Amino acid sequence: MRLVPCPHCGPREQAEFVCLGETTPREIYFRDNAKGPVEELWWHKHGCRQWLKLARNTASNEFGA
Amino acid sequence: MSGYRLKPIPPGDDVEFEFGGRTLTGHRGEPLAAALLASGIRVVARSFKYHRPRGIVGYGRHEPNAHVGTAKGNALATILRVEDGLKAWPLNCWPSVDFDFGALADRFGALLPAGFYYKTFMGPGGRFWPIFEPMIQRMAGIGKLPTDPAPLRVEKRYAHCETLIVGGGIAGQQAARDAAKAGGRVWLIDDGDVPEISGVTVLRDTLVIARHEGGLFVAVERNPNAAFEARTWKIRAARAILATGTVERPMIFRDNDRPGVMLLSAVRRYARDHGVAAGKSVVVFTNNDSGHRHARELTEMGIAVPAVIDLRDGEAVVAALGCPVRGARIAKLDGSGTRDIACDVIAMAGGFTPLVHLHSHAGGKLRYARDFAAFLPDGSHDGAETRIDLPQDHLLARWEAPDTGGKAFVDFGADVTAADVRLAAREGYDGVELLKRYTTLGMAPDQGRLSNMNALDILAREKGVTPDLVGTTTFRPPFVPTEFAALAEPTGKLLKPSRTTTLTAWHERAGAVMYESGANWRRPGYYPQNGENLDAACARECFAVRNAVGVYDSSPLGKFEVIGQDAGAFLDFVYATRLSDLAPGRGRYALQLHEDGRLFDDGIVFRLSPERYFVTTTTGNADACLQRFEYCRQVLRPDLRVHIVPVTEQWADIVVCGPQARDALAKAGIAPPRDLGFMGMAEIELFRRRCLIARAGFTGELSFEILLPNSAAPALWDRMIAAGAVPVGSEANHVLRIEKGFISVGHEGDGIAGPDDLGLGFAVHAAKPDFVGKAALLRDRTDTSPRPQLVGLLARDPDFVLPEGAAILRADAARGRGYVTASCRSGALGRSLAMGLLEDGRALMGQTVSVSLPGGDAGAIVVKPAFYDVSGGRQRV
Amino acid sequence: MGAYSFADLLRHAFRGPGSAERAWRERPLKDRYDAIIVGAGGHGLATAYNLAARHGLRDVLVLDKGWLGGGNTGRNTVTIRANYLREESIRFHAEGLKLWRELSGVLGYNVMFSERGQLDLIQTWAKLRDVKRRQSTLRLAGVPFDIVSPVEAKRRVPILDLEGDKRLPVLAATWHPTAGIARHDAVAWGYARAASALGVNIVQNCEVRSIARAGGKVAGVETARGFIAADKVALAVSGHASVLAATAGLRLPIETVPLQAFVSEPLKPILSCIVNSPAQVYLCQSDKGELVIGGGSDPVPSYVQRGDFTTIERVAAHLVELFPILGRVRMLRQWAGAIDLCHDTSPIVSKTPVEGLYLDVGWGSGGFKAIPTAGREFADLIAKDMPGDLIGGFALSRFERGRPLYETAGASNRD
Repeated sequence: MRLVPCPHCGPREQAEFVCLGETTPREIYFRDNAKGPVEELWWHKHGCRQWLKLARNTASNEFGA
Repeated sequence: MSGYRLKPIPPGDDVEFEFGGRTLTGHRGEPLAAALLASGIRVVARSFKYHRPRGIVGYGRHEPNAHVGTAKGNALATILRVEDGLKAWPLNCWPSVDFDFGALADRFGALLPAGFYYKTFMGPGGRFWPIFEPMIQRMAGIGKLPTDPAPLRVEKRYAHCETLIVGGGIAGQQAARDAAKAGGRVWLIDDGDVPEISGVTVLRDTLVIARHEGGLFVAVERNPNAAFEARTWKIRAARAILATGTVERPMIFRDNDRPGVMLLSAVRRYARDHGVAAGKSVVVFTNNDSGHRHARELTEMGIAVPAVIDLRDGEAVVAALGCPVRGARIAKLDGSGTRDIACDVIAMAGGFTPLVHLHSHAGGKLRYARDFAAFLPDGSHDGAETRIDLPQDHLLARWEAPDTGGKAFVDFGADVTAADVRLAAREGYDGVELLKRYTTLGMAPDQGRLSNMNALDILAREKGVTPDLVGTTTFRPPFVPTEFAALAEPTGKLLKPSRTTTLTAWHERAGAVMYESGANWRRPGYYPQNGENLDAACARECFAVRNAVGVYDSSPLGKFEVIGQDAGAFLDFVYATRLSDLAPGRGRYALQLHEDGRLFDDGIVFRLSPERYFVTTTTGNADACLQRFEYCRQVLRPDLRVHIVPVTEQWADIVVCGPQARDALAKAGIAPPRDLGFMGMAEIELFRRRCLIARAGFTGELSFEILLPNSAAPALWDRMIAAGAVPVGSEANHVLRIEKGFISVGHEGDGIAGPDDLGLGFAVHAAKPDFVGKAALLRDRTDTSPRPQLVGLLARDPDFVLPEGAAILRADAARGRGYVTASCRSGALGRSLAMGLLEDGRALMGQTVSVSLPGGDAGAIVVKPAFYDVSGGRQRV
Repeated sequence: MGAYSFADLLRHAFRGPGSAERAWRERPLKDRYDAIIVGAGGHGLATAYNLAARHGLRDVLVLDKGWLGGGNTGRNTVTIRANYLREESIRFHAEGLKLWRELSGVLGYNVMFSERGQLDLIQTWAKLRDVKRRQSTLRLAGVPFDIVSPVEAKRRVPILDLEGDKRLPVLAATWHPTAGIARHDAVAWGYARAASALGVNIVQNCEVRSIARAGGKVAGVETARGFIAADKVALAVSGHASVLAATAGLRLPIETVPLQAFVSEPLKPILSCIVNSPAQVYLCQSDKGELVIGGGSDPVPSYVQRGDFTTIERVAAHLVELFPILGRVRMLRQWAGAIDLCHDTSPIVSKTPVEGLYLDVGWGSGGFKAIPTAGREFADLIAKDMPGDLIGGFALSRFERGRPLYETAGASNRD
């Protein structure tokens, strides 16, 4: 996994984070689960403990796409 | 004798070693393969499928055949070093490598083409496979488990650098010098020896086994020091140069797997680097200039090369003669002009295949370079650039000699022949991936390093297309087989490290049976005394709580402080229960729901002051609660001014419970505030420290929960024991809560039940404008299908404890309609008790249901889930 | 084309590869079919075979964007078992255990089903309670499933280490004797060959780009080779269910995550059954001698079929902790599949709000074992437009009703 670009802490190992998934309107169960660029919510659990909105490409795992 | 030493071993450097029971002499530090060649040992292994005798083909990592066993596991003879006392033996043969019964498979080889096992061994209706399978299993496999049980001594290290160079050959060294000039941390890694380079950190005897996304490289260093056999590096590199070199490509002809058929590059390396001639007379078979160039080098080193057979001249080696090789049969491409040349080595020189594995591992794409008949990286990928120089050797893109019958191998390791590849293609397995899976091509330990390109070439010809249209399979990590221990995280006590409270040492001294509970905490299950078993200890502990006083270490409980002017509003949003109207100093049992209305967690929330709440959660969910609280605070309700402070580890939590709890506290010198009522919380000073004391508990008795700084906990605990309180473990707590009908999220939650199903509707304040799960709860009310509901169960036989997990049957008896969630023998009630989740259970009150048991079903009466002190008077005193 | 037998090998031995017959046939594409199945993996091919064999529906096209069986059919760790938690799942997979036994005979293709049993190691008290519940439901479904002692576990798996003060000691184990493994690729090939013989057309390397609708009904599929019409379109895909369903206007309760698997170097037989340390590591030994090893899925959603190294480290650690003798055994290869994980970890085998569009998706890490049963039940659903009893619990509508079928219970902690 790539390093996660935390805007508060800098690039950090992914193991420090929890990925909650897409930020698109959430019904309780249903998801877009899009392949390609998405905006996701990540939680820097073992870091600044901030929830982050990050852009990532689920087809390549690249951040900031 | 065939191989020999070009120069004698320097005196003092000679060592004795054992191979297959024979004592031989070698040069200290040389590969076992070199020593075997020099000793004239030609058959070193038996092949995977046909059990054909096999010799050494390649050099270093690029060896398909020569797997040998040692006490510490299986190894390649081309990698294993000759040392004093080395003992190795051949694999996959019985009784010996020279005479192996398994070789019968070769006799019937015509009946065992690619995919033969899919077509037979079935018998009528496929019923015979269980008989055939064990036989196939014994024939297959290669290695054995190590006989020496000592674990691999391995350590892990991290490194970060600006430039990482993989491969310390000429290209790698030059890249390192250039990078060092440019500055930054430069690392060079090679699996052999590399000279020092100024400004470069060099790792020797280290092999990069994988490249992952984001510039993460995994490398294994061998024997870094006396303490460790391996050191696994995880290296993050901003930029990487992959100078990983090439491997020579074999030629395809009849019996090209016989001992004595080798790669020319390997013959050259053994001679040049180890002074070992693989044979007395070497016939070279090539399709490009390198065969001639390297043949000249052999001659210069004193090795006889009677012929270089070049496909470009219209001639081929069509068969190896003898086993091991005693000659080569040569013919024109049209089959004419057959002649035999005596030799003991046939050296194959089919051009060079670049090692692009690391480029591919992380998803780099390849392109086909027609000049070299090879796949090359299509540009750099994710910061990694491959630098492999291929000589322009005027290669003729043909590797296969005219077919003269017999077996011509494409993959030595997996025992796949050219005919197998053709058969697979004709049967429809004509894509590169299908071919690999049908024939097992490339799936042996060498992962097809020597075979993939030749197989692609045959497949392309069979389909009438060029190799680039066939494509290549994906290269997967690791680059070479790597010990699981070298890949593993730390094991033993460091595997999921367990959490302890400041009282854990006391519990262990007291002989408590400790076990894993939620969130990696180890907790006392019960404290057996005088040889008590679980039931006896548990009954004694329960009796103490119901009739005298017990003390329980509740420190792992999840604990949070929620602070701020909107703390009440925030908790009203997170919890289904209204908490904003709590008076300071009061607490309330409260529920958190999942978004879909199911129970997520429960606990007691206290209000310490208008802007300060003390929140408790279950142990197992404490981490998840923090995530959720912060999610609600930052994402869903950023409008609320509130802070969340997780304090689980900051407070020890000691619960003193039982009718004599107040007296025990008095004896211990603790006086709770006189006005502290049930569900109240107050600050109290103990041991000159600020502490909290609450009237809450899980047992239904008069109960004081004391939260205090960790350092003060042992002193309080000791005082409570001295005051006569009986230590109580999780098992007794389980019984006490069943007697009261209190739910446990882990037992009754089940992932499906909602608050109403569990009889917890009283704790849902649906009139609140919004809270997590509210919309789903409202929707649930419109669904009329049966729901699981919490009930009490009284077995007809009061002495029989219904097994937890047992199904509760429906009238049609074939299916369950619920199950027993918790069950115990209750001393207080003098009988067995149980709770369960039962479809529409509340409609069945007073009725008898059957509980499914192996020896015959048991009857149980459905009752309300509350058995002891139903009015709740005891806890309020 | 009949069942394969020893005679095929004899013929090949005497006549050589020239006598080879294609195992399945790709026929020219027509512009309309009675039914189109998207995905030529085990599920899609088994469905096509059952449509033709059970319902006489032979005008069926199976399309795949890659090669046959190249998705999770060819990437999984081949475990076949029925020791699930919920009754719906147990009944479905108990039926599967019966079908697997017969499968080689039915297809005339040796899929090497090997009923070797599964040992699950119990290392926490919470898990012990969980398996007691499974045991009761499995007994009702007629599936043998016993709780056994650590000593008995060691007898079945001699490489298991019970010595020393383990972080998570083996408290007990369960023995599921009718569990087994099969040769995964052969399942796809066997179904493909049998379906092709009945007239089904199987076309590889032809990506379905979208599902075409006319009003509320399905009209066909847009493919890399143009539009193909059909009244019934069935998705039997993994790793792409959400992407395809979106083209028909459907959102699914699915996330796609990588699941890794590993194989060791080939060894002589050392492990005669499947052994599983729940949620940490599981392994069996293939007929070739490789240990086939799996663990949990990667933590972050992704369509990339590559694994995270931290998962390798974790799985290897649990492997070495339980079986220290494997510490010096070498990992040969590692790979990943993209699995479609349903919100409640149960699958979706269902009709949809779009008439004529059917789903057999969301199997998570458990799709391989379901192939024979799902193929039969999904074919019945497509043919009759009515779900059978075994898949009634797997309807998409369970989410709209707010009644998901959680296959894992909540964290069971005694506190």
